[in-house]
This record gives sequence, C-alpha cells and structure tokens, in this order.
Amino acid sequence: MRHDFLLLLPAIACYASVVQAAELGSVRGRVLDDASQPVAGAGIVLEGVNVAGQMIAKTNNSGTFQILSVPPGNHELLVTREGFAPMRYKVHVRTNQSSFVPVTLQRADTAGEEIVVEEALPVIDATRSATSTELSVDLIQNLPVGRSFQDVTNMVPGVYGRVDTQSGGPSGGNPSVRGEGQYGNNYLIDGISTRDPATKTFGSDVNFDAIQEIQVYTDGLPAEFGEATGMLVNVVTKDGADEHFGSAAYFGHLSAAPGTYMILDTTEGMEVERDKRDFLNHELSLTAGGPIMKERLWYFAAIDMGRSKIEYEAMDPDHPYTSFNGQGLGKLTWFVNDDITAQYQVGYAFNNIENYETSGLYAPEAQALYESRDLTNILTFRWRPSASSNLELKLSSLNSSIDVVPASGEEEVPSVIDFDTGAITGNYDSFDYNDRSRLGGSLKFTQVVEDVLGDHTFKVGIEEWMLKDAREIVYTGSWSEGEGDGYQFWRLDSGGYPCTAGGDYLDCYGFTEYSNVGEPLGHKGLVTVGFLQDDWQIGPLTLNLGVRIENERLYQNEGDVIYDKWAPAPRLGAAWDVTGDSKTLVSVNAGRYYDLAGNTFADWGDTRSAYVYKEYQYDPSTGEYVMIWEQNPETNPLVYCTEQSLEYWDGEDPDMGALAREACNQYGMLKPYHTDKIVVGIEREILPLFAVGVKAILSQTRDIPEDVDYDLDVWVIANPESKLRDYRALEFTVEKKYDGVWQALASYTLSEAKGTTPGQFELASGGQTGSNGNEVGVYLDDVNDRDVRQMYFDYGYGWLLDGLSGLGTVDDDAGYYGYLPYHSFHVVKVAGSYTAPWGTTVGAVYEYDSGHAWQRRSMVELYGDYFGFPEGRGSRFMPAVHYFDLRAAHSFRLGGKRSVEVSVDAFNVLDLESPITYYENDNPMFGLTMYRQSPRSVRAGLKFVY
Amino acid sequence: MRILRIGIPLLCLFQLSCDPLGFRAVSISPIYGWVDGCIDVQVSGHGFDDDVSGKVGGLALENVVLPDPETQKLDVGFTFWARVPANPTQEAGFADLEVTSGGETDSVVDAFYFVACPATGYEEYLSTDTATEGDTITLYGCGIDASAHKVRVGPSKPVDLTSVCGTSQVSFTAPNPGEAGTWYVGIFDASGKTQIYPDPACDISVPYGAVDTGITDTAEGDSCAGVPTLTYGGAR
Repeated sequence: MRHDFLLLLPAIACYASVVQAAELGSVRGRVLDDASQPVAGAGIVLEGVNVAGQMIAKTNNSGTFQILSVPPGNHELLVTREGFAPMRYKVHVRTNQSSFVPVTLQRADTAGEEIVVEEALPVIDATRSATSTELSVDLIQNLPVGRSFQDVTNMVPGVYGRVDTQSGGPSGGNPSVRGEGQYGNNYLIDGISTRDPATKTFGSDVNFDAIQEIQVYTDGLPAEFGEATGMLVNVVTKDGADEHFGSAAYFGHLSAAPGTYMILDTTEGMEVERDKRDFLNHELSLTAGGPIMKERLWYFAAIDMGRSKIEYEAMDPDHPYTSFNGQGLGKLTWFVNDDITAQYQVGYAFNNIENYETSGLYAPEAQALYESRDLTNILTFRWRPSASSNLELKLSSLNSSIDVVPASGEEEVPSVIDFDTGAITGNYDSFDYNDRSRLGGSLKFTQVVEDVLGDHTFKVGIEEWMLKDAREIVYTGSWSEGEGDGYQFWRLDSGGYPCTAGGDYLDCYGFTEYSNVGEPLGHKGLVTVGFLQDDWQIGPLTLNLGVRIENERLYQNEGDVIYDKWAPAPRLGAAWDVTGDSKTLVSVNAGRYYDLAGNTFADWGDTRSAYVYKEYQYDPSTGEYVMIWEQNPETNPLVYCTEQSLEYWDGEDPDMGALAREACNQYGMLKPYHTDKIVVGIEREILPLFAVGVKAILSQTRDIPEDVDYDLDVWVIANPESKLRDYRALEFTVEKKYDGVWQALASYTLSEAKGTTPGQFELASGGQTGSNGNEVGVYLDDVNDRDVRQMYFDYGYGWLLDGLSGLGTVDDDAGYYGYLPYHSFHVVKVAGSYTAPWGTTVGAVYEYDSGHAWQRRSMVELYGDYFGFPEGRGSRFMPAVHYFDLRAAHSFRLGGKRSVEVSVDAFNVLDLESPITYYENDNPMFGLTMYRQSPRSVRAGLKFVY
Repeated sequence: MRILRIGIPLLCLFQLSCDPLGFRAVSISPIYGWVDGCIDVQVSGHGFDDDVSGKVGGLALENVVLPDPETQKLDVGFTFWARVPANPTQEAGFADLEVTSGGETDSVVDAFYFVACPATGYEEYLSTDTATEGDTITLYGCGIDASAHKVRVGPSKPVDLTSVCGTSQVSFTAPNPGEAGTWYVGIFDASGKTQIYPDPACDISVPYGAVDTGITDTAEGDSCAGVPTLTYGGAR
C-alpha cells in the first residue's frame, strides 16, 4: 500500500509536519543506480516516531534530494523508484546538521522486496564549516554527569567548566569557552535565547529528562546565531509524538567521602582541618508525551522537583544550605495541516534557598534567603508557503525574578562586619529585588534554490528583542530604633573597637551609610537583528556564506539612549567533502562574533543610582565619625564615549562634556565588542560511526568596554586598546556515535588563553575568592602622562600611584597581559558508555586539566583592595587535576516499551582532593587552598520508562 | 642551550606550553623614594634564578635577599628584596628597573622615581610613636646628617644621632622630655639650639611646655603638620 501511495507523490519536493528552525536538522542524499548513474524522480519518505505523518521529497536530475527541518532523533528513510527495489535506511538527525544518505538502488522488474540497509550512514556533515558537538539523549543519559544541561556541556571540547574561575570553587554552571570568560556564552532553549540580560549567564534551567538533544557550538557560529563570543548552547526539548511515552524517576545523591581535609578559614587566617562537604539531594522527575489526536495534536509535559541540603566546609552544621527547587515544562503542538504547525510551550522554574551565604562568614542571624522564579512562554508558527521554502515565526517572553533578603526579615537591625576576620553578624545587609525579562520574536525564511551555479539553501531572518532589568535594593540597619536606615557597622577588636551589637554603635571602628536617592534601577535594551546566509553547494565544495547585522540600543534615565550601535558580522566558511561520500571533511571558517553590551552596561554609568554610598571612620581625637569616602553617581558619573552620552553631558555640564570628549578621543569612542576567529580543520570517519578530527583555532577579542579615569574627576567608558584577549588552540577529537552498544566522545585541547582581562566589564578585579581580575581599570586608572606623574611624586602624592602597576600604556609595563584565569595548557576529556546485550550499561567520564592560571594580587592603597598584579597576570599555575566519574545502570524490560532502570553514578570515584582555587591576595594567607575538588559522591536512581 | 631554546618551541606546536612564562621583571614596590636612597624595595616578576640581581636607574640594588626555599617557597622565582642606594647625582627623576637573571636581562621603563629631599633634615616618620626614656628610636627621612645634626623631643636636651643607612635613616636614644605627653621630634644643628626641621615657626615644645630652646615663635598654621611625635607615659 505504501508503495502505491508513493507513486502519487507530487512532482516536486515537498515536506510535511515541520519546517526549518534552529532546533531542527535536515537530511540530504544522492540516489544512484547500480551503474552509478543519478536516478531522477526517486521518491523519498522520512518517517519517525516524533515526525507527524511523513516528510516527503523527490530527487532532482542530479539524483540529489534534501529534506529540511527534521526533528533531531532516529528516523527511517524510504527510497523508491519504479524499476528498482525500495530501500529503507536508519537515519540519525542532529540539530542544525545535514545527515547524508548515499543510496544505490538495485534494479528489479517489479516493485520487489524492500531492502533494509543496516549499514551506518556517515556521521560527518560535509556541508558545513561550523564546529558543534551534539550531545544526544543517548549520550547524556548513559554517562555519569550532573542532571543539568550546564553540567553536560563540560564534556564538549574547548569548554572549560569544571572550575569557577570567577568566584573560586567548583563550576557554577557558566563555563569559559575558547578563551572567552563566563559571560561570553548564549543559552538557547528550543531556539530562544534565555540568557540573563543583566548577568549574561544562563537564565533558565531545563528538566533534564525533557532534553532531546543539546547542540553546543564552539566555533564558526552561523549567521543565524549571535550573542556569543564563547559558546552557544542550543537545548532542544522533547516534543509529543504519535505514540505515548514518558518516564518517572527518583534520584538520591549524597556525599560519600567521610573524613577531613585542609582548607583555608579566612577568619582564622590559616588552613584548618575541616570535615569534607556533606550533602544530600533528592530529585523527582516526571515526563509524559504523546498524541492527543494522532498526526494532529501532540502534548509533552515534564516536572522536576528537587531538595538539597549541603553542609559546606565553613558553614555552621546546624544551619546548612538548603534548597527546594523545581522546573516544569509543557508543550502543545498542533499540525494545522501538512504545511502549517503551531506550537505553544510554557516553562516555569523556582528555587528557594535558606542559608544562602556559604562562605562561613555569615552568622546564622545574618544569613539570607534566596528566591528565584522564571516563567517562559514560546509561541511558534511554522508555515510552508511553497514546496521549497519555509517560514517560521517565534514569539517569546521570559520573565525572571531573583530576590535575596535577610533571613531575619528585619529592616532595622544592622549588620556588623568584623574587619579582623571578615565575619558578618547582626543581620544581612540588604533586601535585594531583581526582575529581568526578554520579550520579542524572530521571523525566519528558508528558500532552497537548485541548479543556479550549484545548489543554494538561503536563510534570511529578522529578530527584535526587548531586554529589561529592574533592581531595588533596600539596605538594612538603623542607627537606633526609627532613626534612618542603611547603616552597616565595622568592628575592629584588635584596634579596640568591639562595636557591640545592639549597643549605641559609638564603639565601632566606622560604618557604611547607604541612602536611597532615586527610583529603583531599571534599564532597557532594544536589539534588532537581520541575517542572511547561503549554504552554496558546488559539487563537493560547500560555501557557508553569511552576514549578521545587529543593532543594540540601550536606554537609561527614563528614556535617554546612551548607546546605539550597528554591528555587521560576516560569517564565512568553506567545507570540502574530499572523498565525496561525506566521510572526509576539510573546512575553514572565519567570522566576527559580536556580543551585546547588555543591560549591566547601561547600569554602569547610570546617574539615577539607587543609592549614595559613604564610609565613615572613628576619629579618636574628636570622638566623632568622619566621612572618608563617598560614592555618589549623581556627582561623579561615568560618561559613555558615545555621541548620545556626550551630547547629554554637553547640555548638563559643558565643562564635564569637554573633558569627557578629550578622554574619549584618547581612549576611543565605544564600538561594539567582538571576537574575530578563524578555524581550520579536518575530520575523517575512519570506521562506521567513528570519526577523528583535528582543528586549529585562532581568535582575538577587541573593543571591550572599560571605565577609565581621565583626570580623577572625569571617568569615561571607552574602548582602550589595551583591553584585549587572544586565544589559540590545537584540538584533537574522537567521536563514536551511539549504535546501541557503545559510544564515546574524547578530545585533547592544547590551548593558550591570554589577555588583559578575562571578562567583559561587569565585575571589579578585586576580591579574595577567585582568579578573576576582570577589569584592567586599575592599570588604566594610573596617571599615564609622564609629566603629570612626575608632579604627583614631587608634590608628595606618590602614594596615590603606588600599586597601580605602571604607566598604563599599551606596551603593558604593568604586566596586565598574561594568562587568563581559565587558561589551561592541556585538557583531556574522555567520555563514553558501553551497553551489554543483557541491558547493563557502564559509563565513564574522565577529565584531565593541567592546571589553570592564577596570580598574586597586590594592595592598591588608593582603592583599599587587592587590584594589582605585581608578578604579572597569570604568572602561576594550579596543580593538575583529574576528574573521574563512573556509572552503572541496568534496564529491566517489562514488556513492550516499558522498562525500569536502576542506576548508580559515582562522582570523583577516587576522592581526589586537588586544590582548585588558591587565595591570591598578598597577605599571610597568600597561596593557601580555598577550594578543593568536590568530594566523592554517589547518586542512585530508579527510573520507569514507557 | 641554544639548540634547546630554539628546538623545544619548534617541537611544541604553536610554541604552546613550552617555557610558558620564562623570565620577566614586572614591578618594584614602592615605586618612589628619596634621592638619599636606603629604600627597601621588593622586586617582582617571574622566572628569577638564584643569581638574580637588579638595578634602578643604573644603580645596582644592594642587600639583595632571596626568598627562603623552606619558609617562603611560594616566593621563590617570583620576587627578591633589596635596597635602592642613594642617587649620586641627587637629581629627582624617573629611573628604569633592570633585572638580570640566568644571563637574561629585562627592564621596566620608568618604574621608579627618585624624589628630591624637600628640606635639610627632613623627617618622615619614626619607627614608633610611643616611647620611654632609653628606647632606641629610628627616624626615617632624608638629608639627616648624623654627624652634624641632633634631635630634641619636645623640651628634652639634644641627643646624638647614629646613621643606620646614609642620611635617610638615623637612630637615637629616647631622651627624657621632662613630663609625660606627646612631643614633637625636631632636628637641630650640632649645637642643639638651632632648629633645622621643622620650620622654626613650629616650636617643637609648644603647646606642651616652654623650655630654653632659643626659639621664640609659637606654632601656628600647618607648619607643624606631618612632623613626627613621640608619646611618653602611655597618654593618648
């Protein structure tokens, strides 16, 4: 019957169900007869459990075909032609990749018996020069990995994610990739960016069991994608299907490493023996999907609830960190007809944390509560206006709130910071309310054009996004009951200032006063994007040609535009299918990748600052507190080196405007921040499903914004030449795709990440807990005019320059150019699993890191913090670290598709304790171990699947 | 050695991971000091061998001290301590830092500044701000000639000075100022009667009590600002 139906196929290619989108892939092939001649007019039908109906095409005169917009996963492809035996192939489709099917039809007098081809199809997409790693559900569910998409990306070559080099300690879920910092990544869920507009970190979690595939681009991002100088993670969640499916699972995860280790206690000022981190996590996960109406209406839903209790090393065991969190996802897909699909999905996530501060410096009464809420809505329309074109419209809204408030709930009780130990008592210092949103949509159109100087797949699109953030901070602490607010007092017992809590606070060393002076901070960014790309196939050569044009407008001061920039980004590549069978690929790719300045950038120079910050210190000679520092953005603003901002200041304060123009001329008007990258690679499938590759990567990042002190009165945000990053690497990869038995993903990356700043511009370089040093501001804040500098020394103000490290020239006298904190020369990653015929699966993950860079930081008296790099940036390297995790699981078949899987994962099996963060400030604690590898832990799971 | 220096980077693709840091001078702290010298400094960078030495403005650093491999192992190869000698020209100005180690030399342009001495017998600070009679006190400053100058603490009798290092560090034995209190420390000529520093407008004995200093003006304005004091008798 099916063959009869195929004979009724229209004469031109057509597709059903779904059309081209960021979360889909494609299938292409070439049909030859047994004399190696092209077969025109052959019928192609693609079917699969998550394909509604059939996706249909027909070969052209060259015998080639292409089916766009295929959901990732395992499908079957049937090839028919009158006079030949039908042939059926198993095709695995990966997100944003084109799976190649070489077909050789056998002549038959009649329709003949269907030939099922068991031979594996090529795994290399020889039409693209971009580098991405596809983490299929088969891979991520069979390996010992954390149950989050963030953890899973750690196995991708070029991703440095095991250590949080920003704050110290184990990964915080925002890795550094290809020499870019933790803020250079973009996180898409079903084609929609969920990146936090303020922090530029991942914005939403996803139910792990709802993930169908994760695609991680590390190089050569096509023009369709942006907002990433590091990696772009494209998480594709499961959709409904014509058959019911689902799972119910419980996981218990607990520490399994009794004992102690030596770790720095900053209150003691030395390494002390501490119990290893003790924790217990529970997780319940439910998924369900299927047809409401077959081939017309599908549903998918997932719920995940978790509860964690963690006793961090330095915390009071009676007041552990506890978290109650959950995520929910719901999807409805309506196939209106063969050409039109509509889909709505909603996601919700929450996290409630008690005893949020884990450093051990916060007394129980000074602890904080953390609450986050995320709500995501995505509406997708897909339409095929003609047989060779597709149109997709996506509208989405993402809203999130993060509140960090005192556990005490008290507004009037002040917090007291102990200057001897850093300990905080009394109360938490503020109620911090944050709201963020991303609203907008995209319209993308795909057109296939054949036989015009080769075959083309054009894709053109526009996007418009509104990114908003709002923050309200209410500082706690009254001097006395009912008298003012926003006071934090300073204790210095060693100096005779006990600062008695609950007293009159006249025995304190000093205090900080925050006063609210304006409305809660809020910023808006409007992002407009247009892109055009053409995958132009000329025989074995495919040119990937694209350009992406982005415009970002940032608003502050109730509507003032302070930044309005256009950024054209070419994306060019060439992929050569050397052997013509999609098994040997030589590629080169070069492109420019812009990132948004982002909402925090608008906050940076906001003159409506929500508070004025003042510091007072006790003067024994007068018995009174004297103000020693004031930070008031209304009187000391940052001026953006943009025409809009300079014109604003010309009107507000012409003298300031004139000085700011001088400064901007010296340091450069703001330009969009970008990375330029070139990648050359070769990849060869040496055995079925088994490919090896090597690539060389060279990139540089420039035009990173920086605040520069021009003359101690005027500060500007400009593009100093000396703020830059360089990266180069040689990377070897081995990948074995899953065949139901075994799979592997391994890589060796030899790389060098250097620069004068690891981040963008959001965070200060000081701080004891990490290897950051984000700004080069201190270096550039140095007085760099030789004559002026001489005056400082001659008039007795040399101390103001001490510790600033140099003349602030691009020659880097100050040693600010060096190895960045996430730099590691050698990283080896091996992950794989084996499934025995009787249903037992063993998985393992190993990672070797030769040690990331760190450095000594020196005190800069002017700022009262450790901002200097006396030995140069990245002058030291951490010890090498090995990570080894194991998994064993057995699946009990219950009949039909039903099964129960019992699993045990062991993380850090050998319970290795290598230091991963040293204390960097130049005082007696320098070089002591702040964090070690996470101790051994075990996760047990029970999962029912149907 | 030459073969290794050329060959190892060539063997390493892109020269990656081969002697990644090497030798480099980065900073000197503090970044300025009197032309009189005797400035204790810390020179930092990386790749310092045991034979490391340095110069500031072409003047060899004295008293080079290397980190103790047992107790200061984190400093080994990264730093050394030394003393900047007096600038023989006595001219203020920028000076380059030059560090030599393992046969290589690296320099940091204008890394240090020689500051001219603002006055003869200029006092900057004392080794302590409290004293009892008989304590040895070190006075830091510049232009203090131990053989030609004496010191008085408030109304005390003049006491002799001993050079600790050139004319920028001298020591004296705390004299008896007559009564407890906080007293200015002044530099006098060899007779002990003519106040050289601070300016005579700052009567070092005022306001704590008159004594036969030969000075008739009283302290006013800022002329006493910054002059070091010693407190006797535990008063604050």
